[in-house]
Amino acid sequence: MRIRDDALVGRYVIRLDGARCDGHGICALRCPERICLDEWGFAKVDPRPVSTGRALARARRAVAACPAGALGLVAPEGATRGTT
Amino acid sequence: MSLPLLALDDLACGSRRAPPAFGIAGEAVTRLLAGPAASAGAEPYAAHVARLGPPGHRRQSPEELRSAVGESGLLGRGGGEFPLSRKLDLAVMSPGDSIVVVNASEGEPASRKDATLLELRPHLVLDGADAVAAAVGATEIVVYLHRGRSATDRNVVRALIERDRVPGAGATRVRLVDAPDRYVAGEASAVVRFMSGGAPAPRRTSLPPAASGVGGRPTVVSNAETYAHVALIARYGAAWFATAGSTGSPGSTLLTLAGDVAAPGTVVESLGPTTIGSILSGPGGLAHPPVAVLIGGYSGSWVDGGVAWATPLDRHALANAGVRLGCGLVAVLGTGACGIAETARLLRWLAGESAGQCGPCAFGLPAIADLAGMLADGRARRSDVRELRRLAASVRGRGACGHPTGVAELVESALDTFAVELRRHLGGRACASAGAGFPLPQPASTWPRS
Repeated sequence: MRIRDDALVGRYVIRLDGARCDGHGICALRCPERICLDEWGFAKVDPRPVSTGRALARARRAVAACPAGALGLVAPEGATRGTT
Repeated sequence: MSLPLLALDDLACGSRRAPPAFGIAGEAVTRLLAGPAASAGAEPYAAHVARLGPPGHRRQSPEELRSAVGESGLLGRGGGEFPLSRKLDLAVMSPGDSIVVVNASEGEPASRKDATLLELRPHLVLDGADAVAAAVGATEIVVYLHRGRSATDRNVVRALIERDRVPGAGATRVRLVDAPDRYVAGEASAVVRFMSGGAPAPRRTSLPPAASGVGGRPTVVSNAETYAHVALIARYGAAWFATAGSTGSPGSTLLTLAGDVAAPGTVVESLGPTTIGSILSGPGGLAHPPVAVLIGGYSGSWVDGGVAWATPLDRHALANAGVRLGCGLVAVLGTGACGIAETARLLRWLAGESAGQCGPCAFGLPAIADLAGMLADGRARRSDVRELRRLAASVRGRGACGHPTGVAELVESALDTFAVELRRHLGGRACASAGAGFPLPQPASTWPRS
């Protein structure tokens, strides 16, 4: 059974791997609600959860469109990450 | 059979021994730096055990060790301030043979605390690494440090040879890995990537190193000082550990004093509660508040000297004020120096230390350094300062590591702290800066790629 998007709204954020982003810029066209480009053309992601069904669909398209595989839709980052 | 009189705490802890009276007579009480004077060099293993007692982890189960670290509230001392117990729990939960990495690369140019610790008390750090290895069932310990060109390296090698001769002292195999001379090479994900055969550059991973690190194995990466604290927690317990420091950040903290102080590179241990002023005005220290201090490292925060003087030296309190104590660097701006010029100098170096992996860092940091350079030369206008602030805000929080964010903090805190100097520079006047400034290593020529 396919889970309806409505149930997932507000539960995902777009995650960007800055080291993979090559500045193709397609993501910002697909999901302007959460992604814009900086002055050098690299993606800049709004860290807030994707809040509407429409935005979630667009976010999915942005993730799928990235030629560098730099984007992902993930649950907001847990408390398990750390650096020394 | 009659029991000796014991406190409840002693009964609960079984064979835990009482901590010795730390500190040298007539000097401030210390923990990690207690014992023989610095001039005596590295403390030999026999003297170390005679002074502190045998390593505490040998009479505790892994569960007991992990819960002691958890109750202690110990936060990593490398700059990330991440609770060590969370890394241990993750490593235990994750599949594969764990590795324990003692990060002693100390890439922060003016910081000397890890080097000092390994030069004077190598067995404290190695005991801590053994304890963490026992706590997570690790099969290997790696000491990540600059090899072959320091007293630190020599003393660690000597300490390992000593431990080899003591039955049970080094139960876990220890390997030394040569850390590259790069600022970002000490970041945990860079350490893991380098040890897995890649470039010594940070990377974003879906799982933290403690869950999936070197070759996919659970890897506990923490700073050398963190392990030294573990060695004492394993001996004397979490309650004892928390009698120093504050509730938000328990335990003592090593600090490196740099810049315009009597002996730059001096390492002091703060047991809190204290102020930055009382640390700086210690023996051979400053009589008056300086113009400004840089706290937490070269990508840390400038704080007005008068404000800093009265500010509590406590990770938690500082974090509430937007300042990270980071690696514990407290660098004093010289009386003849200009904060704007010094910041521009640091920014140029920091831009060169970008691994060049992420766009905002590779493009943003040189642009920021250019604008700051113009400002320092008296060639900038108000609009350039606005642009500098905008760029700093733009790179904040981006990229695969904290490097751009650290640079943004340096820029913003400089513009806030040096308002008077800023006006002078905007008036096109020559910079009054004098003195050598904070030490900067030679920039590396190219980045190792993989």
